[in-house]
Amino acid sequence: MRKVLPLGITFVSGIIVVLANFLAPAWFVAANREISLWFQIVAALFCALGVANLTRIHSKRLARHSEGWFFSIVLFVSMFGFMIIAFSVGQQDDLYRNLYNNTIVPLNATMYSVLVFYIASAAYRAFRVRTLEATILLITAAIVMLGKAPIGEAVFGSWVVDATNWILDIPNVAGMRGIQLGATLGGLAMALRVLVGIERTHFGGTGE
Amino acid sequence: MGLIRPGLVASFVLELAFAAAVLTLIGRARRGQPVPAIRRVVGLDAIDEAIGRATEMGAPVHFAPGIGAIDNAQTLAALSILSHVARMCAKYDTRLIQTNRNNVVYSIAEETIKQAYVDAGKPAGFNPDDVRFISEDQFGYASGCIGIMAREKVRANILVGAFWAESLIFAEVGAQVGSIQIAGTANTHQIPFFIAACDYALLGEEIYAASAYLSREPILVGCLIGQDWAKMIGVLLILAGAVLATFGNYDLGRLLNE
Repeated sequence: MRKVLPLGITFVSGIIVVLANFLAPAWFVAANREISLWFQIVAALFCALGVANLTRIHSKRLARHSEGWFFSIVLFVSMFGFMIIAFSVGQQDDLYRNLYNNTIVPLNATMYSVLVFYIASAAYRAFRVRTLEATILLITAAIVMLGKAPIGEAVFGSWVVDATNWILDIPNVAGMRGIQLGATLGGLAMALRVLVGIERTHFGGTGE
Repeated sequence: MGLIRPGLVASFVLELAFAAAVLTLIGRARRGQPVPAIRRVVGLDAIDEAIGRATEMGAPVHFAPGIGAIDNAQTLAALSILSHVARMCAKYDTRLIQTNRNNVVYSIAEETIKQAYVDAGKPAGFNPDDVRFISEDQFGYASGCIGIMAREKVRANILVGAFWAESLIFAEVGAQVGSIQIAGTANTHQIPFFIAACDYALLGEEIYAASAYLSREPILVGCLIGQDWAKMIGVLLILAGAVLATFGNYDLGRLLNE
């Protein structure tokens, strides 16, 4: 029963969700909406597990005075502080919005902007001429970078822009679509394996 | 009003045909009929090598299943790879640190790892504190993970699942701390970052092939072969469409849009 019931629920709800994308009858669409709602409610319940995990790990760090224990205090103050404020005044209140806009938003922007430096360092390693593939990558990237920067056209003429557009529109798109075709079919096959109960890793076991 | 929504008839028929092909191959495998061999996937072979290296160095392995929720097929593929990674880590007594962005994925990952340790006969080796929920926020999760990678000096970094803008942050920090890195995603815009920054990259469908490849289970391999048949049909349709369109005939495109 412990195996059959989850498999049965997966199959029935999965079939409804898949068919609701194609079938027009209103009751099918309504059933799909109901299942999506249940999914959201169940997922919301799992939030407590995340909070419990963070609390357990960081309480231990505090108790042991592990390296960087001070940051665990910062985490507790931020996590429970945001929760208390959100529950007491609501997410639309100025207090909550100001806190969010002046802490989370700039922190996210900072992490995102760090990507610039990571792109530069990754490009440096990828473009080192060690193999034929790396050489082709270097030449292609050099053309595309020159074609996208105004200085490229000013120095080398319009052929750099034409070559860049050709690289991006023809070989790049062909490669991407090939990968997309395989990935889409792979995703469909994975969904089918889950539906018929061959793939069971999501039940928390080893899939056997 | 028809039973099938307008514009989706051809998609529905093709999807049914795909399902039929896959189920036929699964049926053949179930009956014990031979299924063709699958090609070598270097990135998947390298998982054991990476865990071996971390074991030799006495350092932990880090596994991130991406930032997708459990309804994302890439996350399911990541969990099947996690199951293999956890079994290997349990076998060699190597510490596995697994980080999550999604609460549901976190709970399932914890159960998956716990079960892998039980299967390996070492239930006491499982440490629940090494399965961590970091943050629901994309960059909060990324900064938490790179902090762990740097502090714990992980020597094998396995990133498989649905990654977006945080992919390069993970991969670059992994490279900087000296980890052997295996990364895979079906999000095409992130694949170049993984190729540039990681030692091995799993491209698109290769992450979905992992459970069949790592287990060599005939039924799962049969499913892969069915997938390849469908790909061949897709390629033939593209070729036929391109040839017909070259000669001014767009009927195939119109038929597929019905």
